[in-house]
Amino acid sequence: MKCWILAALILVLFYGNPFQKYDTEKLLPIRCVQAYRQGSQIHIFSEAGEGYGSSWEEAVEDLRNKASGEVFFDTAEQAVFSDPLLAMEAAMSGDLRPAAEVFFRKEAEDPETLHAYLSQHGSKLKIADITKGRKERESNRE
Amino acid sequence: MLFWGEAMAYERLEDGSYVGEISDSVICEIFGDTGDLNRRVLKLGSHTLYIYSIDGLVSIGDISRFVIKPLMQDTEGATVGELYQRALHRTVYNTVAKPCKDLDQVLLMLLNGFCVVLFGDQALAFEDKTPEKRSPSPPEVENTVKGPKDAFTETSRTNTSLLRRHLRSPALHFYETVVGTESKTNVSVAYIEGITDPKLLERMKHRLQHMQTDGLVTPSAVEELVTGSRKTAFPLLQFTERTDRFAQALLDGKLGLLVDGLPLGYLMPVDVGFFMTSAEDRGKDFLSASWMRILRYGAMLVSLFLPAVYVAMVVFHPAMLPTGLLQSVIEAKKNVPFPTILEVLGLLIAFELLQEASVSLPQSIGQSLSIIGGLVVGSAAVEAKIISPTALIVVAVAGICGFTVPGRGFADALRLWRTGLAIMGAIGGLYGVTVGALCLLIHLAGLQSFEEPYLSPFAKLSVKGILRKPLRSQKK
Repeated sequence: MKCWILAALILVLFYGNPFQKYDTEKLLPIRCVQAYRQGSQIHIFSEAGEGYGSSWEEAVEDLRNKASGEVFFDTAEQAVFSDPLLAMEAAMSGDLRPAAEVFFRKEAEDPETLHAYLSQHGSKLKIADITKGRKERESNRE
Repeated sequence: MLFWGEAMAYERLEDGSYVGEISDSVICEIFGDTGDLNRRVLKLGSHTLYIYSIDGLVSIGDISRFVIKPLMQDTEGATVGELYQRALHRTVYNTVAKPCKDLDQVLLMLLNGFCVVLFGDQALAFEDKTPEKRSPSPPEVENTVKGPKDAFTETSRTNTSLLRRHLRSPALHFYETVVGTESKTNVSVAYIEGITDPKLLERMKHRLQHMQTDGLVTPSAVEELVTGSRKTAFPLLQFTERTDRFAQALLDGKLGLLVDGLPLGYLMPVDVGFFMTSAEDRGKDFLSASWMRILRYGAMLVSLFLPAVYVAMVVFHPAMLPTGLLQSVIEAKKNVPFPTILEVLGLLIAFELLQEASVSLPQSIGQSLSIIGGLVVGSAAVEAKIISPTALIVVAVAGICGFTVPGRGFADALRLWRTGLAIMGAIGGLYGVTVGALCLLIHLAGLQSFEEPYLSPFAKLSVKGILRKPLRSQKK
């Protein structure tokens, strides 16, 4: 019995491991990500560089392509958006971690300065709140 | 096996014992041309006596003065039988004079430092052991600030006398037997009548009686043969060089084992809690001792899991690290050519090798080696960007925490598992570490030391094995 349990655990370890491997030395961790709508374009601005696109996904892809390493959104503590719709789009993409605090602002700022400023103030709104609200609305409609 | 001498035969049985006639030719035949057998032929009138001893095990001067001289002085008109009776009851000044009932006993007595005299086909053994043996010295491994400074020596009888000085109780008994078809090692099982579980003693006697081995001369042979076939790196006996710790364990109901030739005492049954107790614990108040034990358990977990968790976090779960720490790790890893797992495994192996080298070298050179290996090579490797400083710190912290585990055998097993867990962390991240930890838990839960569960302090939800209770609340 003991051997079977261990065999099953090891089988899952080799074939069912859900975790992604990272090249740590190439990671570009982001603390503060900013996204602004400029006409039909979305402009993403972070410590890892900038990206443009017609949607959040395209802008993120552009940012990843231009970056010198692997852009790592999982460390983002603050997400700054120009409007709630963009925040919704970013939240539903799953790129940002649920605990990231959400802020709204019209103009881009130097990420490090903005991170230091926002860290002192904080926000009660989190990415998780936005996704939760969206899912609740969808279930109510159904 | 049957051997034929000139006129008579002797036989060597499978258990290493000898049967045959007690005679000079048989004894000479068995020992052959060995250089350390002293044989003296005494002509007393019409009778011939043969005197044997093993050089180095006996005091030659004492044999001359207290065996040969009295034998030579009392020979008037006696038969060989009368000479034997006189030597046994009157002539020879010796506290121990044992009649040997068979050939095997003659040989055993000779090998145990007795002088054997043959009176025809009868033999008498007189104890004339040499006083040359190492005196008790301070313990080298289990040092304490306050504890006594007498450690076990290689001589079993000295060790039993040291124990008697700690436990002046007639209830302290030693069951003695001989193990090893070739080594004929004297083994003493120490126990306290009324405290030690009699079943435990019976189990030990049974194991010793059925032990099939040529020799019992190394610690690993004792550990493996006494505990049975082992498929674990974890020790199922605890060794100690401290007589006070051994005596205390006997008072706690454990069984002790002293093997002639080994400057150690073995204790059983053992569990994880016992391996985490230090000799120093008894020298402190119960609060400090308990606090130290808690710290030790924490250090043990850090030592076991830190490299694995580090590898898992850095390779699979960097998001779980605080961003500032992650940035430090990334900065440290820049320009390092090896993946994290190779860095950590390489350092763990280097750490093992350094430890192995310093153990087998003299103490003065060992210290220099630690400085060169740990400081010079370590810092040079970091500066040359061969390894990252964070990996070095993680392995060093794990190593230092590992040294706080008092049971050396247990710490060695933990080091082995630490490497395995690091590999599991590299394969499956925290999931892999969890699988590894479960394997370890299942393995430990299945272990028994003399039918005592290895995890008994935790299984019984008892704090006795974890914390040190005040002496007044400890039951006998």
